[in-house]
Amino acid sequence: MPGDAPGSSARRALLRGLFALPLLAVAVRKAGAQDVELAKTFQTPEAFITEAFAPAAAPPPAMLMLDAARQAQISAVLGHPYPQARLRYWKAAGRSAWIFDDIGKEGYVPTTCGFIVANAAIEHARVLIYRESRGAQIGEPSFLRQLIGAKAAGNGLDKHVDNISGATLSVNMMQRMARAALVLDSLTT
Amino acid sequence: MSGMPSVTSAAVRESTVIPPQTRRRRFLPRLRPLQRGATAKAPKPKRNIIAVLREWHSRAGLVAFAFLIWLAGTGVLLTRSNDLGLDTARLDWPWLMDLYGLHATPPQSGFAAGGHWLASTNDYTLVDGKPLSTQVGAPLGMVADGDAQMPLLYIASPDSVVLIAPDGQRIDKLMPPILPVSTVRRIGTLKRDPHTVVVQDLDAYQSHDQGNTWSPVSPTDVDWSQPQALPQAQRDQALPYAKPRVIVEQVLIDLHSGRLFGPVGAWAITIIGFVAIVLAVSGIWMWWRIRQNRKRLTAR
Repeated sequence: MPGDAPGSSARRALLRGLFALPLLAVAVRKAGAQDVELAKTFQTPEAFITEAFAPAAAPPPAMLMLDAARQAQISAVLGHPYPQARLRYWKAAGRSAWIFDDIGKEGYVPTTCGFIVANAAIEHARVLIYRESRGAQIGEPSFLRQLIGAKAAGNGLDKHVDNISGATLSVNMMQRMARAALVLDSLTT
Repeated sequence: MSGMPSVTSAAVRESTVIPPQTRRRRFLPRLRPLQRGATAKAPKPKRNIIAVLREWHSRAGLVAFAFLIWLAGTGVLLTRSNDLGLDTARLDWPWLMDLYGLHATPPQSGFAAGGHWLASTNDYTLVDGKPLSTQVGAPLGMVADGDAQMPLLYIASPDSVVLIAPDGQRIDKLMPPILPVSTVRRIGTLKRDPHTVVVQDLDAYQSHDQGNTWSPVSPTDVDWSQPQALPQAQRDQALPYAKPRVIVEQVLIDLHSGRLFGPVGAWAITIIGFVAIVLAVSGIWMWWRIRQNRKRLTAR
């Protein structure tokens, strides 16, 4: 407006911006509400097993009994005994496929993962169903590629796995699970 | 004491010195504002914007003081909730549950099989009133199988069938592709052979060997597990596990947003949010104006 002080238009713009902030917040909230999901399925367990042995048909599942001695070996790498007395797995041509659950820490919801082990090394690692509210980035192929080729080294892996900001517990859980898959595979030979 | 003039004697001396007309002239201007009332105040000097802003900045600061400490405290705890274990710790304080409007209610129905009862609360799956180490989400049926040496209970939920021993030890968990259906709708046993377990989503499948192999079966040949009214003894056993609990992180979120105190709390925090914006803007504005004025004075 003619006659206005030099800084008045800038002040008006600032005030308009401040008044627009609540509207922006509402818009962001509406957009975010559409992304809410309780469990994220990266791959169904059936698809994982089919893919693991393709193009051949998947072998029938076998059963591994987890007695006290075996539970002790699992506890050493997983940090706790596996909460079942037996576990199913699939094995053919020197490759074994495992699907099992673990938790990031006590009180968390279990995550279902699949591993293929060949020659005492991780051949493939997949997050199948992620049920936690944060840390789902561990299901990304770029992260899981780091586990390929990992072998046992003490109670851990012989490969360094980069952390993901905000998903430290899930990253640690994946490393523990990969190590547990190697133990489970060793128990079948 | 005798050397000091008293008030009375000074007033008497003044009245004797100052003539009454002069005294009236001095006193009347002081009385006039009282006669006109409170509205007729002497015109105030025009205040500049910095003075107004400073006044409102102080008022807003006083209003927001306690709330900002509250918000900062809960905010700090929320940022460290993972390290402090607040994202998994749960509270069941009765007064807090009253604020949330939550009360312990035992389950009214459950599933019976092989002389055992299955009940479910928000946080626990109970077999004969004892909690399982791992909760089975949304159980939709239970059947009994196994031999006398190793009796087994099959608890079905939409995504799996969990096999447990009657003492609660988890034996196995059947999920696809071990299970022939991607989602379990119901579980039962064959009418002619109660040791054959059947699951159904669209089609029904039976297994005689604890879920190793499955074959199709007609749904009409099956006794399906149905919910039944829980006996009073089972309800009493379930009551301690039916106490409502809230995760500490959730309580902090609700405190931070004010929602713990209902819509009034949420609106109070909303208003405090705007007050905080006023504080930030007025603070910066005052700083900027004072800086400009100082520059102008230095230039002169």
